[in-house]
Amino acid sequence: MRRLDLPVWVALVVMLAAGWSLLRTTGARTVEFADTQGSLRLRYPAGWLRVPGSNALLEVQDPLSGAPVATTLLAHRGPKAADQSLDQAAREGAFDHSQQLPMYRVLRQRPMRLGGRDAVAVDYAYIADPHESVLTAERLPVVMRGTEVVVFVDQTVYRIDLRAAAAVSDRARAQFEGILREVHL
Amino acid sequence: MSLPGPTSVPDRGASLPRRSIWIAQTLTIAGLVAYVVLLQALAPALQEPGRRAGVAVGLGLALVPAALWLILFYVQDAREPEPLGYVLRVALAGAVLGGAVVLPIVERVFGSAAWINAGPLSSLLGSILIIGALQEFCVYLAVRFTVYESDEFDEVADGVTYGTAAGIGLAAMLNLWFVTAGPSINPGPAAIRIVVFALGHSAFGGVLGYFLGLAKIYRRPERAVQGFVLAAVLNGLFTYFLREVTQSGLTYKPWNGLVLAAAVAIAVTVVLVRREHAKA
Repeated sequence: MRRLDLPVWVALVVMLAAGWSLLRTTGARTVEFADTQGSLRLRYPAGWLRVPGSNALLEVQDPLSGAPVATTLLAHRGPKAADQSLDQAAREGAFDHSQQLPMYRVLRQRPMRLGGRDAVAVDYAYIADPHESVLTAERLPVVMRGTEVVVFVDQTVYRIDLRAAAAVSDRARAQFEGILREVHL
Repeated sequence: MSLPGPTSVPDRGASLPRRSIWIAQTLTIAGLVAYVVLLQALAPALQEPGRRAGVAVGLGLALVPAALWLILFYVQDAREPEPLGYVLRVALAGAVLGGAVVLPIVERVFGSAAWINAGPLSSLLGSILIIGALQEFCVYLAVRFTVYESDEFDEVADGVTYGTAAGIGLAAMLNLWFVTAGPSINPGPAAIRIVVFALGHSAFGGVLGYFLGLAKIYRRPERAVQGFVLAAVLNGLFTYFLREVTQSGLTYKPWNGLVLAAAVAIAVTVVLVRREHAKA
């Protein structure tokens, strides 16, 4: 029976080892971000770049998203108001976005779990201009899709948000799901 | 697809092909496609029934393919009996190993979420070398350590039966995880995805089982590792191309996945039937 089982075990080990090592060298690496003044920890793809001068707790962009507007991951931390519910916090976030993002609209709001806690996800869309600083540009404005996840940790509200051009939002959404699975609160 | 045939005539196992298995396989493919079509008509009535009822609907959807295959197998097998207890045991082993080995290792140890959509190369390599290898290893274990040494496993076709059963069990567990992981499911696309998994994993389980049959009946142990590697590669390619054909920009096209899965299942069944006839 050794002649039957041993080669299969060896093949499995070789395949897993090859898969693991190849994935480490083909862009599957991640970088950890930890909120030094809070409990949030998450991992994002290693190739994503920090946005200098950002006011957010974390703002990183995928330089290789293939869209005219970069896929952006944002994390914000803020205080939780007394008796504030997750739905209220999500609505407040949506209101803030509506003041900043052109043609912003909420597509869907849904409950979910994040890092073992109850959370609310808000799917939204807006219009971004890839050439905001110039009056004349040949490119059309870009439809963006995003999801903001709101979660409470004690008296803190965390908002984790991923925005991507609609043309690449399927891939971005899958990446976001991966990022959310690695969130620790 | 080219599968090796037997190279010498054994003392036992040189029986006629077991028609019941192939009839059950064919009816299962047809039945699962019909099930998906039926579900599309019923989907509006099953939509958004509330979280608890939604989970119940999802569990029902996830287990139907396995139940259908087992029923068809049982009915067909009445003429050429294969112990149903063994078949159930193998299917259960496939499900348990899928839940205990595949899901936690793929998700936790190898962090599939980080690379599964990270790019074509990562996705393809990960699908073959990690997902395919682990899933087919579970199918191998499920057959190897439940029924392989039994006297009931006395034909190459028995390997196909038990391999398919292990694949169906594995698919049932993956589907259970799928329907319970999210906050809600859309019954129409979910039913297609569930059937796609069932068709795919039963096909790859059948391939691996066929090789295990060759390994045992013809005393060719090297066939086991050949079958394992082939099934893992087929599984990984299927996993990769399934994503490619169902995702198109903003649009999710589940029917493309069903076509792919049905084509793979039919192709595997035809190839294995031809091998069986060649043997006879």
